[in-house]
Amino acid sequence: MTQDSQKAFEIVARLKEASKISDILREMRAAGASFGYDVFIITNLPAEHETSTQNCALVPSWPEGWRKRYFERDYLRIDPVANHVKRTTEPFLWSEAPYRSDEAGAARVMDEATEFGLSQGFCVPIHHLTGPGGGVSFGASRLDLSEDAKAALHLVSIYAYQRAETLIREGGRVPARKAPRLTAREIECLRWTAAGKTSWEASEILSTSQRTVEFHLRNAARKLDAVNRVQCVAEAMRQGIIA
Amino acid sequence: MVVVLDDDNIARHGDLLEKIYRFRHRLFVERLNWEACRRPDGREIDQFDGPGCIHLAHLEGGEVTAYSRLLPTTRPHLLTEVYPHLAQRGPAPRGATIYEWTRCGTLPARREGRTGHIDPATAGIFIAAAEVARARGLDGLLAQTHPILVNRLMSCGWDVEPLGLPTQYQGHSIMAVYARLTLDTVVESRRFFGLDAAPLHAPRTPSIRPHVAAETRLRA
Repeated sequence: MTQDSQKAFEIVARLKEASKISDILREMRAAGASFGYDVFIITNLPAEHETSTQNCALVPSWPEGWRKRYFERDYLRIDPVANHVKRTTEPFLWSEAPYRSDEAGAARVMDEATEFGLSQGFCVPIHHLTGPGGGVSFGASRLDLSEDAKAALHLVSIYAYQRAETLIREGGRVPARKAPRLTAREIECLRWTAAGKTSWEASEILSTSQRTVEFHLRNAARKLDAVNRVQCVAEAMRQGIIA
Repeated sequence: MVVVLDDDNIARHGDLLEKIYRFRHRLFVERLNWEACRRPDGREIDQFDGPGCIHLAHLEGGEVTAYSRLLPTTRPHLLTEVYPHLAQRGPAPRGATIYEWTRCGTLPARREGRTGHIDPATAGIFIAAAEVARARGLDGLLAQTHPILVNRLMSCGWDVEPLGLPTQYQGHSIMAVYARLTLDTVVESRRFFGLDAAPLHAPRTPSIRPHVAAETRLRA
């Protein structure tokens, strides 16, 4: 057994026992010293319909400025590394993630990453659920991994992702791509809105005040991340909340 | 429905066993190109099919749509005979309460599930594996598989120990694991596949498909 594999098994044993996200963060930062990466991220990819990528990251240990910019600008959608995750189940170097020369966004992401010291990297896709998947990505100004170190990081990533996903699910935080929870009343108001009723008409049907209907519709819009009533109804239909 | 064949009932189910071997040939040889397993008669049978082996077959309309095989580790099995190099951490666990999960597969036409859910045939086999392990008092199962399924096993409530690092085999990763059965494995498997609303021994309502199994049904 090599040194890298021995290290990986030890890290895995500790990751399995992690009881908080901060345990994973600490373990994975320490592993960076052994394998030569500076930073890492554990993330899901956004589903097609998701309006924001902000909820995708499970454990983002990236330079703060880069993390902020990356998620505010939804780089997760144009990053060639993230896009390659959708096409493969095998680990790859960032330099192996293809993009066409006319994809200005893709080139920009790779370019801007270097400003934050992320010039080279390695990514492990994780796809055990249906949906766009996710993965663990390791970055550094210079990353030199032997085949054995890659296999070791592959193993570590499987467990780091799994533990993070489990802790977040058990912690009751709304998983990124679960349908938002709407109340029965909010759904009722949305149904009547979808049927073409004004909020006054809906309030008459539901024997309540117009203000209450509007209150429910506003809450529904907030939960569905919609800016107006039309988008709210469309979003609710697309997510199957109303038929 | 998942049907379980073992030494006790296999003699009475020759027709089903025949369907199983043909299903395996169609899936693993003709579809997944496991050329070493190709046979002129279209029945995929290897040296491990025989006494002690447990077959799990998901049937739809009398046809096999998903399948798995459990091999006793008290006899030669794939990890000892075919993939010993995957167990880099040293000798893998074996014994009367440890089986090896092999030949896990679903007919491609049945893989298209509802969005966000894995298809019922695959779900049936995964839940059946956990239920059979529990019903027979097993400690766990060995498996050699793509790392993706390692995550799935963990999500299904198995306590998964790596037996080695992922290794490249014909362009794909493969690794050996020992998946320990826990008190939660059956429940977590059902939850993972979206079947948490259906407790096992509750009276079945028509809307809930009897995905699994049952050994009890079959032995009766």
